[in-house]
Amino acid sequence: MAHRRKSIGIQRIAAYATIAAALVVTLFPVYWIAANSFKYDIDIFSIPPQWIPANPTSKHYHAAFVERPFLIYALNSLIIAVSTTLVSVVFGSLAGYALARFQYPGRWRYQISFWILSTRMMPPIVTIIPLYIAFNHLGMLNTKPAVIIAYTAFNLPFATWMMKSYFQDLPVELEEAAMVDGDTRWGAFLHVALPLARPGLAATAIFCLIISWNEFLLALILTLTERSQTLPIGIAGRVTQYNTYWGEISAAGFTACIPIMIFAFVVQKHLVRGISFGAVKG
Amino acid sequence: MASVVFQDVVKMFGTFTAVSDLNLEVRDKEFLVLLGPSGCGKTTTMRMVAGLEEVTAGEIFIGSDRVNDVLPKYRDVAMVFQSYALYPHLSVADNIGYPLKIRKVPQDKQRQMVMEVARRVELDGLLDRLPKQLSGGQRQRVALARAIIRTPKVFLMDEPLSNLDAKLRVQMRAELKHLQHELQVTTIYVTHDQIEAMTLAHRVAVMNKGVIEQLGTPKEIYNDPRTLFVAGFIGSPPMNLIDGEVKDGVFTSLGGVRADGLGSANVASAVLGVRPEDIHVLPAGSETANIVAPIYSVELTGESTLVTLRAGAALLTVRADKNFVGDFDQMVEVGFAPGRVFLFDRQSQDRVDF
Amino acid sequence: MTVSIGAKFGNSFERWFERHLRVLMLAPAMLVLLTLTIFPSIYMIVAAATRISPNPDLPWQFAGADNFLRLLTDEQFHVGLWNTLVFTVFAVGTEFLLGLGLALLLDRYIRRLNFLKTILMLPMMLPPVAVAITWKLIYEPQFGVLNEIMFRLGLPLQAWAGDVRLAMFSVIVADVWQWTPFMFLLMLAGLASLPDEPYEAAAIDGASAWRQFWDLTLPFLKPIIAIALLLRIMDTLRLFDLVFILTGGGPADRTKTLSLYIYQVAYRFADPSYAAAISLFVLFTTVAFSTWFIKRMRLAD
Repeated sequence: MAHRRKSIGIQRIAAYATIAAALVVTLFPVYWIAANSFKYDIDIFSIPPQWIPANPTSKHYHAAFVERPFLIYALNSLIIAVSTTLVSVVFGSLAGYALARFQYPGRWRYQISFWILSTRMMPPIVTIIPLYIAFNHLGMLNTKPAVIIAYTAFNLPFATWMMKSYFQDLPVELEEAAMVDGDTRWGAFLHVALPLARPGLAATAIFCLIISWNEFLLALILTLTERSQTLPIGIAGRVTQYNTYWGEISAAGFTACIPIMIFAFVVQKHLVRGISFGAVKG
Repeated sequence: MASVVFQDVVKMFGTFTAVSDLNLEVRDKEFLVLLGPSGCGKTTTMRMVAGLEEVTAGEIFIGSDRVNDVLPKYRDVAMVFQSYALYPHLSVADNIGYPLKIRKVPQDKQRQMVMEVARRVELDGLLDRLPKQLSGGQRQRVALARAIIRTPKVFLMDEPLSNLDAKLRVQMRAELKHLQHELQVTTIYVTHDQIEAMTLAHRVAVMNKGVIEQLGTPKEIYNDPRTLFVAGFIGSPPMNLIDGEVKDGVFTSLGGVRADGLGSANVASAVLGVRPEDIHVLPAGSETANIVAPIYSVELTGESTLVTLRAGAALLTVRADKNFVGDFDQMVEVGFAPGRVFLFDRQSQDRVDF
Repeated sequence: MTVSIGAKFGNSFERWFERHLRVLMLAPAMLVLLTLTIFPSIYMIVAAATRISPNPDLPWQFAGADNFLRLLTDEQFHVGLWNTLVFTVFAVGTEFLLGLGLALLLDRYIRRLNFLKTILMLPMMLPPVAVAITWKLIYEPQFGVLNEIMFRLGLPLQAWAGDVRLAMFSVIVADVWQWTPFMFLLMLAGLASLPDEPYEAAAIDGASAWRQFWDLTLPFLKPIIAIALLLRIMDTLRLFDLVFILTGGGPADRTKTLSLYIYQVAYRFADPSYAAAISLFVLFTTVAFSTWFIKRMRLAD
């Protein structure tokens, strides 16, 4: 085991060299999309590539967000992500608390927990066809509520498990003390458990935001017009067989990455718990 | 102020019986201690009074009210938890004032009452701190203050001193006793520490395996144990319990212990019980010796010397004078104090009177 | 100082609410999930067993196992299945080895460097669409960065994602870039939770670093390795976004995954019955695989 041994100079150097290489490999693509979003078309196409934009321009941002409806896509993404997150976190906290604290007859608690987790494992492509047909019947295709409902189905299991695990970490005596002090169980949940689970709530919410913000397949199928299309769909729409609008999609793509990069630093402490419940991938 | 009455109370967890057929009356203003080893059902019994566990069968009354189906908030009890259960996100003042806040007591009255109680438990300088900034003893006081801020019908205390260090525990014990005397509130106190039970209680209920083995004053429990379990559980060092048989009032064990004067009792598998302080070292050649045995070890505790003798397979502890001197394997003759010897039936676990 | 709480034992609604809280709190989530999983499942089974006419006015016809039998002879399906498997094996395998290796190497150097760690984690959180266009840009045959590097190294230029031989490789590289951090993070978390004593005992017993790795580290890490692999495999089996943007499944169907094929069948060929049959196949293999894997790795707890 390397990390149990006494520090050796060479190993240290190798480690730092690896970290440096990993950082370059990790950051270069992100840098590259950012750099290209600020280049004139002619500089994007230059051979050899222009490593640093010589004539920075915001032209593509203007093109995407003013001339083309990327601002609407971004707003749609935001509305859908926030609504999905609200519903998922509220329902997920309630169910997570119930599964963390209450007794159910027989092995029902285990069964229900496992069933909720297993719905998360369904490949989206499997449920999307019936959802498409149902929303078509209800006249809800191309609406934001349809996307929000579909996203909730995929976020709720995760939110429930994540909140369940945070509630289980809280000592149960605190809620019992509140009940003896004069609260109902529900009051103890609202006044004691929920405030104490705030870090967990925040982390769960941010993961839900990220999943919904990034999602592609469901939105691709459920939305056909800009009234409800999200940023990823808008970007994909500018990658056609005949022409790819590099500047525009770089600008939109990099914009889509910005909130994620901010959130990543907020949830870093909760990352392991989040991804082991399968949070990060939509 | 109220009494607490248990009538045929049963508590099952699945198929496990935690409390079976409990009948107990805690009198008004009484300090009752539920004493027993872990898993004996004492905490469950207390939690049923608080309403934190549902009663499987039977009835619980607080005062004249049957409280089986009453939510905890309406039972008007206050509880001190082993872990203190202080709200970590609230200041000391808000922790103490929480029961008042829930009851929508006006702000200024709340503040006044919190101050009053805080002064009483010497926390007045710490009201703005968070629980994590307090020492163990201070946290304990906050938990206590939160319990006494509204005078409830019943205090419930679940091993409240077990997380304190030994010195602080002795000090808090005295404070608790005084406080209960001052407030005159019925108190149910759970502990596995017999010293706490003996020092605090008006009456002690010794529990084992979901059953009350004996209920009585500390003196009764100590001097007149009704079952083998109580005899072995109470006292430190514990009562010597020697297996043997009784024929026509004479006890003999394989290890060579002999005791007569047990009336005309006949018990095939008997247990003779005698406390270490009721065994006396006799001068050599004494005719009244109950056993002559070699010394296994000698421990000076300060006010006395504990001498352990090897009596066959059993060990016998004797509380001897602090000036006792003896070496390993030295033969010692000891005698039991007359009238301080108990006889139990191994089968029924009950005392055999003679 | 006695403070009362108002009504003596509360009202009946409050009592009812408290008594049923465990059901009431669970109900919203359960209702949503039941509606959104049971209904689609039933629909899929019914749809897969029928022939749905493109004309919505015509009734569905019972088709029995026809749609499933088509799976046996449908070459496009076989290609999709093969591509998905190849992608899964190579992508997950590479990510695992890289992630474990990096974690072992960096464990003691990176523990306190939370900021660095977060940067290294970034790729897996980025929108897959943004990742796909970024790599599309890098792979671009004329002005892409990768060919510039090939040129500088004196190697032949390639079409990468557009090349029949290299398309799958290109997709895998992009996926490895995005998801190695996932393996790395989980392995790092596993390493951080290792106890010290067994290593000290092993060192005293004279075990080499290599022996310690095989005898201690790997067995300790086994549960977290299993979870990491399971989560990743379930993701790669449903791969869609990356190929949709990067290659569109081409060239010559070389990167067409099952998800992409289902999408084409359902929306381009307008054959929801057959799409349902393939979907059910994917669902059952995923469930069967994860159940087998969970049992095999004894992960049930």
